[in-house]
Amino acid sequence: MSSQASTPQAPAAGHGAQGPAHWQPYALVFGALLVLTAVTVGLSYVDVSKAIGMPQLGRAANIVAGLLVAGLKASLVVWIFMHMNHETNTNRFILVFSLVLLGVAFTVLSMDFVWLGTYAQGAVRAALGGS
Amino acid sequence: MSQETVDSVADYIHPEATDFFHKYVWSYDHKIIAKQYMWTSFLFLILGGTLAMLLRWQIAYPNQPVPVIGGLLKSAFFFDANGAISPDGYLQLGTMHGLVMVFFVIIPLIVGAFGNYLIPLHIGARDVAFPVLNALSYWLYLPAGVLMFTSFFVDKGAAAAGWTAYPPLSDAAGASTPVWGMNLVLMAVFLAGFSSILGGINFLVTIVKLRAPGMTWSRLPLVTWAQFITAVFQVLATPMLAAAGAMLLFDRLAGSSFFLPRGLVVGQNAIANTGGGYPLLWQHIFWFYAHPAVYILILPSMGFASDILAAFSRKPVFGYRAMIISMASIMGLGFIVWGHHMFVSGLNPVMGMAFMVSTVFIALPSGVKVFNWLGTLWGGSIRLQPPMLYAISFVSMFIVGGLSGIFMAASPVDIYIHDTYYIIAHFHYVVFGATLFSVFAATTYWFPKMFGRMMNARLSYLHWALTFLFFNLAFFPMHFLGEAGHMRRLMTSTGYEFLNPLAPWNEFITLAAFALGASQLLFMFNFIHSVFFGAPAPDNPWEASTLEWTIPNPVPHYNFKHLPTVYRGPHEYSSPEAEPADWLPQNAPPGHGGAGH
Amino acid sequence: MSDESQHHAILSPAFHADRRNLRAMGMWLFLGSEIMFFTAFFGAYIVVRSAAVGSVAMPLDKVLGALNTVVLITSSLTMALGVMHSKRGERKETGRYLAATFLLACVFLVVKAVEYTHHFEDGVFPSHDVFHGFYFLLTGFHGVHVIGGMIALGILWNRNRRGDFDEHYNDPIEMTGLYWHFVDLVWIFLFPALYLL
Repeated sequence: MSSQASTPQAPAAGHGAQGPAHWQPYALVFGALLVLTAVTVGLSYVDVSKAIGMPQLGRAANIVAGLLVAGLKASLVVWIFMHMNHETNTNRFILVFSLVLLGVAFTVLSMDFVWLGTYAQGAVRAALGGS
Repeated sequence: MSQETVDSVADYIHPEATDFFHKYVWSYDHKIIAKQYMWTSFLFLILGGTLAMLLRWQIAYPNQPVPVIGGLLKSAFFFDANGAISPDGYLQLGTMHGLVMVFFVIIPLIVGAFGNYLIPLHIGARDVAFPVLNALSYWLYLPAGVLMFTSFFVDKGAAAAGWTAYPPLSDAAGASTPVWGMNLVLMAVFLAGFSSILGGINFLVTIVKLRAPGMTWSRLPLVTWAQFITAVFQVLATPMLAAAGAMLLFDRLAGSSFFLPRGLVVGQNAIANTGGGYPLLWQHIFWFYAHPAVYILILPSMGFASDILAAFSRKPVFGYRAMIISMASIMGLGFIVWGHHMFVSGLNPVMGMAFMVSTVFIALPSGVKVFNWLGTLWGGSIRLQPPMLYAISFVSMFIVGGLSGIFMAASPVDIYIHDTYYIIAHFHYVVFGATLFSVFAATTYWFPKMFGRMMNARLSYLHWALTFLFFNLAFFPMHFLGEAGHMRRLMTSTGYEFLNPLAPWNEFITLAAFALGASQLLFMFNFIHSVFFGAPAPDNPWEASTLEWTIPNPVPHYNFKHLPTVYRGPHEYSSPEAEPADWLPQNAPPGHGGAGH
Repeated sequence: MSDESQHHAILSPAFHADRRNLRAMGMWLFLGSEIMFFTAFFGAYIVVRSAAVGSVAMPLDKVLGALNTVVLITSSLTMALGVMHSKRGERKETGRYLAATFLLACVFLVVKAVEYTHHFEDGVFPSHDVFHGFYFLLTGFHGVHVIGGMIALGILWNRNRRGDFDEHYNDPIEMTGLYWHFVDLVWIFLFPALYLL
């Protein structure tokens, strides 16, 4: 926070947001990331909607599955590789706030264009005589 | 001097620069960088204002050759063969006037100049968190500004699609848009945006991490709070502009089609493009940035006004906490109102309604602030010196600009007044009437600290009176023009019969605008003359309580010999503890009543 | 406290820790701004792509894409290990891992160049259709960020070789590490978005 005047103390090596002092957590995360990459590639060859017994979802199921896997990979990178597990709340908030804004942007864009696609374009096409 | 061990960034003092280059060109001192921003922005203000004067000539005297300059520059830049403004030239003037004023005058002035100068001083720090980045921010801004103006010199001239650069006009080859002019302007804005993002990061870290002992969040001057909120917008909204600009450049240079639909026809010509894009996509991405941008334009000036009103009313700001909550609300809501610029664009009507609701909500915190400013004045011991006069005008003109905003927020009303002079009136009231007046207030107020001299008070009073008069004469009638249906970005109104009765108003406004422009010469003269020949200023001419007034003029490069310890809030005016004086500086320890160093 | 400039001030370990914290906040803010930058691209891509959900066949080479994903993930590992060693003041290991990260980044760019060459040979440019417009836009800007990271890595490797860093002062490496992981993160979403979904 505001500058502490004084006791000069460096944090002990390997503690705090400097990150883990050992290589094992990194190796584990690396392994997990490789596995998840294989999973996501594999899923792309599969019709996820049929696999979970809801064929009416169509491609949407694949998209959701792919994004979930990507989200999981991203979380591992942020939490361990980027030392978010030891970071200050301020820095965590910065990330969360950015992601909230990302969500707002995606939501509004999608809603507007879904409407555009569903209603407006249809109306225009109808007005032009169904071209 | 023996070597010292430095234990924190706050304690660290940069070595003082000794040679001219490191003192005045590539400086790490926030005070020098602030002045660099200030001089450069004032120069761009003159240029941007001149562009507006040319616009106003054309509107009032359609197709008449511009006196003197038109004769000299026939067929050059935005002039046609007779020395009148050409149609493409008119669009260039309007576009560049907007872009220059927003990105190269106001933001660099209120954030780059005043933010840079004041933030470290207000929080009791020796400099910003990242001084090298600070220097880089300025040296991205200046070349960007130069690049903007070089676009006038290329074939077909500068950008001419409006400052909002809507596709297809800004995008499609085959539309009448200048080619390289637009590209250069997009690159210039990209650079300026990058400068802005880095500056915002710098200020956020500075304010969070480098406050002096005792300078808690609830003791910060409102200038600092305002700069903090502004910096959040700068960091998180500006990248959207960069992305939009990148996509537009990609469309223009790489042949992609993000914003161009299939089957586009401009005039009689079908545009050959890949298709598959949406013009509305640009509007969403652009306004996601550009709406927070207008809060960047107003929040710092609200901060200046708040602290100046307190100092010259000899009263704390009414409702300090409410002011902070209001600014925080503006920060939260400011990201979710952008659709109100798009009510008539083909936006989903349900989204339109949602944006209308959020926009009306965001008026509330601004209203709270207005009442708090009035409450600050009420019962105060008013000292009507130039900064105060400008600050009070800020409040009155912000009220006018804010009220017109309420009408625009209601989408049924906006359908009628969108793209008319009503909108032009609104944003000039808030950006010129409010923000620029606040800049005049801030300049006259902090000039003694920045330059060690006083500005001439009589000239300031005269400048204030003329500017206030001619500003209102020029812009208030625009509300009526807008209601009458006078469209904006219109080169000549004579082609529309229903606008003919309004022609005298156009001439009236132009004459007022010329007088307004001429009045600014007073300020320019006052500023420049006072820098060199102004009366030497005492350390605290206004008897103000914030930390910058506790250090001597000229401010040494390390700001504070000893980092201050803060015991009080920023507006300890007329405090009983201070008697017999009527104020206490923030670093006065408890029980040591009375002002003084 | 001297009021003369501290030309020869000794910067204590506490100073370096303090400055590291300032720089970490600055870097997270910068990454926040980068998230917003790519938000616009991804958001636009979602809009345009969802207009053609059923119909788009994957015109990209999944194998090369997956290979690049593995390359970047590995480079994130080497970067994290480089940071770890720098925190211990182990200069040689730090240099090795920085170099490894740099080399993996080179591999990434080479694979990308191969992909781009294939496209250009087939006459596929950003103007080909809007999907490829996004492909070149997203991978192009991602590539620019990779190159930026490589420049930083090169500078760091050289400074490390000269002995600039120790167990107290190493935050430039850590900050570059944060940036590098972010570049990896963007690709983690780019790969499925463009190649798989």
